[in-house]
Amino acid sequence: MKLRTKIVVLTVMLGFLGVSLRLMDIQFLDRSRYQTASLREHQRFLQIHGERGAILDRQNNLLVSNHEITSLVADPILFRSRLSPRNVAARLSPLLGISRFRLEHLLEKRSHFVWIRHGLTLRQTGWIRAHSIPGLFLMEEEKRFYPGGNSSHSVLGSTGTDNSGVSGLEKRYDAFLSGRRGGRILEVSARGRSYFSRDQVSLNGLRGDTVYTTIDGRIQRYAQNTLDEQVKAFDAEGGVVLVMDPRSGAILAMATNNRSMGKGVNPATSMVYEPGSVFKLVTASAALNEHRVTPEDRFDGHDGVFRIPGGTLHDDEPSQSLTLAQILAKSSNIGISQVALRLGPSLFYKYIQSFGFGQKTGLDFPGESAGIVHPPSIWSHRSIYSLAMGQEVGVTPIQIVTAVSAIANGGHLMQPYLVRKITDGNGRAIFRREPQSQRRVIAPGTSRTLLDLMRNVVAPGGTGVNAIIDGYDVAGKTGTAQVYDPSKHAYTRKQTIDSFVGVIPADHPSLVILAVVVKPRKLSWGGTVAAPLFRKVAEMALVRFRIPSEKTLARSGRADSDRVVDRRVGSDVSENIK
Amino acid sequence: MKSVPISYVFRSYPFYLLDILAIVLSGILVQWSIDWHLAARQGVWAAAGFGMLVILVGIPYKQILKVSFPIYGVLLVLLILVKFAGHQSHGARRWIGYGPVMIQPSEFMKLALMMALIWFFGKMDDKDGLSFEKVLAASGMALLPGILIAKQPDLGTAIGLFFSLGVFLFLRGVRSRTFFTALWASVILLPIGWQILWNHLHAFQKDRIRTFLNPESDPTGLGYHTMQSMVAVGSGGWFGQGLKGATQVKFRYLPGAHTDFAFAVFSEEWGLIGAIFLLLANGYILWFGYRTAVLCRESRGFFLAAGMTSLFGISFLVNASMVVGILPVVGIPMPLLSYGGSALLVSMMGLALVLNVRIHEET
Repeated sequence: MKLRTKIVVLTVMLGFLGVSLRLMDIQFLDRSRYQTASLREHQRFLQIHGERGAILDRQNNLLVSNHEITSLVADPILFRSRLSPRNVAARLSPLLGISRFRLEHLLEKRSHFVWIRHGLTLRQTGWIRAHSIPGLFLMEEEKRFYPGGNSSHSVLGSTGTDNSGVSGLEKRYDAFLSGRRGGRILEVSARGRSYFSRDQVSLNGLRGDTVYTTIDGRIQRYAQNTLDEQVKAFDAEGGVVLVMDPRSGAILAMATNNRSMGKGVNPATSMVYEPGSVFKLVTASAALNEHRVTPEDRFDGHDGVFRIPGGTLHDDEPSQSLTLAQILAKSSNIGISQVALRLGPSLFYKYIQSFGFGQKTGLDFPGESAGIVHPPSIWSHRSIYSLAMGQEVGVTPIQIVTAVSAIANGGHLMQPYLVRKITDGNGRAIFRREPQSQRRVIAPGTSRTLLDLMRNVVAPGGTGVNAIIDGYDVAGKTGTAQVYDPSKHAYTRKQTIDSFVGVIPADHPSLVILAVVVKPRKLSWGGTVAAPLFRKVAEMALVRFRIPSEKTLARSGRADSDRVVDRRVGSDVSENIK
Repeated sequence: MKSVPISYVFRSYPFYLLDILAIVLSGILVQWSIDWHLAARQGVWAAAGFGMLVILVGIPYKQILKVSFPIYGVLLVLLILVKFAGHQSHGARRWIGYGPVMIQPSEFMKLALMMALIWFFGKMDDKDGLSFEKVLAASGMALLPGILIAKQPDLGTAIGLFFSLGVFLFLRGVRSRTFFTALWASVILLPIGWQILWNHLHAFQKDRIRTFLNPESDPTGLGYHTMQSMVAVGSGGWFGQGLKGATQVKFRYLPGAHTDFAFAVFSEEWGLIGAIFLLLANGYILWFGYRTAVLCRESRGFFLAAGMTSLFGISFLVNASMVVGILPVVGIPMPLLSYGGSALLVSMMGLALVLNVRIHEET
């Protein structure tokens, strides 16, 4: 073979060797680098959230779900490879209502994904779709939707722009409700066309859990509307209506109005106020349960003027002699003071604590306050008188309704709750709450006696005449707390928190309803502000739950009606109270 | 020398033919993964190629060489025709034909030039190599079509044409005085020639050369072809991404995937295993060709076999080097694998001539 032929063959062999070595290098030694480069080039990883879970009421009607909105997103890097942000921003700015500067800024980002605008209108969507600008994409998004309007807002709370809960049940159960995080891989071609395939199956797997509440949608709506009307009519700062099933502790409605109170707080669970006369129920039940008083005992009325350490107590209706029934019906401060004195500080304190005051009820709701209860060791000589009539103590509406429920249900302090069940995306229950008694506070006999005494409040001559409902026995208590004015170091008569708590029907309690109106300006007397509010909600609830009136009961017999009531309100709870 | 029946060829050299078939089928598979239309058309051309192969193997190579100069002349006329009446595509006039049958005379010219050179200068009538005049004449034969092709513009094919000349001159040998004269002349003329060439290059051609000197300077800009090609090859890994998994192709990241970068697509789809298979298959063709040349005791037969084999080998190696980023992007397709009817036909005809030498030398 000639030399030159050898050289040619050798050259070709060297060429082969070179190519082979390079192939080894690229495809074997360094392959991960090129594979990554390939993926980085054509795959865009987009983090996605599954749909947020729905919240249902006790009849499994939707309180909140989602609806789809169309949003505009951009891939700025891809966009800039084809178009100038300046020009496109100028055209899009009037359409989208975003300033040119802001649009340009967004499109100049060194990123493959930015949000341009959430919730496009049909016109905007149509324009974007018609022009199909490379690097701009339309994306479907979920947004919270309230089929029943905003009436459940106090319970549900709200979600932020990132669709996570910021208050209410949305916040408390955010871990369940929020859709699971997942990824969607967009495959993008060199020409900027995205192969956006929406994988419905995987999205369903990412869907958030469904939360079943104890709220009754219709009562909630009615309570909220009535409360709003009442607050407006009396030019009040706000108010609360709480409806509880006393046998289970389930909250059926939680309406709040914080018109001129701090935003973002829920007064039903976080407003700490002096309960006033409503607290006399606690004093009376403690004394009755300890047998320190009996319904037959008579107390000296002192003619409406009673000297106590460091001051004098006054009654609005002076009297010579009072029974416990009269003390509650006329809301006598002098009478209840003597009841508290018979009880003594340590026992009284024990009962205050036992009824759940001074500690969080443990309601499954964020931002609950514990209230304020001082131990006897730091009480002044006057404290026992103040406490007896509901002063020197800070309570929350949820504490009051829970405590009164204990009086109503025969003595069990129930664990209040809002959520009864949570199911996952496949409908499997992953959480279930059964009614739970925290402790027995008073004996059943005490409970019965007290309910009887409370009927006198809602009767002609009592302070709760405005809460009388035709055909039903109502057990209740009014409360008019004077607001302590820190600037004057005194209680004022001008600013009050008026409340009424009622138990219906009195002889087989099915509902406990608390109405609170904060600082009504036009009229200030518990009997005429909170009691009518209670009555309106109670009347609606009686119809809603088909609770038979006394007249119906007289015709058909008690046993039958109990069964009816149980099915409507407490089907899941009645047997749990032992 | 007499013509041989084709059945004899198949019986004697089945592996060589199967090897060619395997590479051609690999190419069709690559085209199919991109677009089945391409595969169908390439399939038709491949069938025509095998037809030509059968014809070319049947006629003794010396008789073919006799008509090489007329063929060269006809192609030259066709090249001039292309200049004025050629089919234009992507800003270049390269094709001539009617309807779906479009041929690229420049591709055929590579073959014809080699054959014409062998016909004129293939006789070993001088011991110390070609004289200066003969080298000049040979260069002229290459330069005439070369300029026409470069102006189409088709730099890759023009370079391929000079491969034909270079390979032939190297194998044939030139007088040492001529060689050194040419060397000195080129050393002096290179800067001037380069300047003239540079001025006549199109912008994209200049970009490619600049890119080669600094490939990673701008991944989305100048070096785009090379980067994308290397990414395609690299993402193939050991066993490849399969026919459906070649994302570089599927998402159109790799320009010219079916032509110049068919090897890149093949490597992405079949991985290192596939690439090695392809290297071995082409290696066997080269081995067969050079062995044919060495075995041939007749000088023109030697030049034909060695020349055709070298043209094949250079095209293969230049293309493969371009795909793996060793050489700049010059438009030289991979023989047998890349899409392109004319190129496929020319490659198969060249290999047929090698086989022709093998058969007709022996018998």
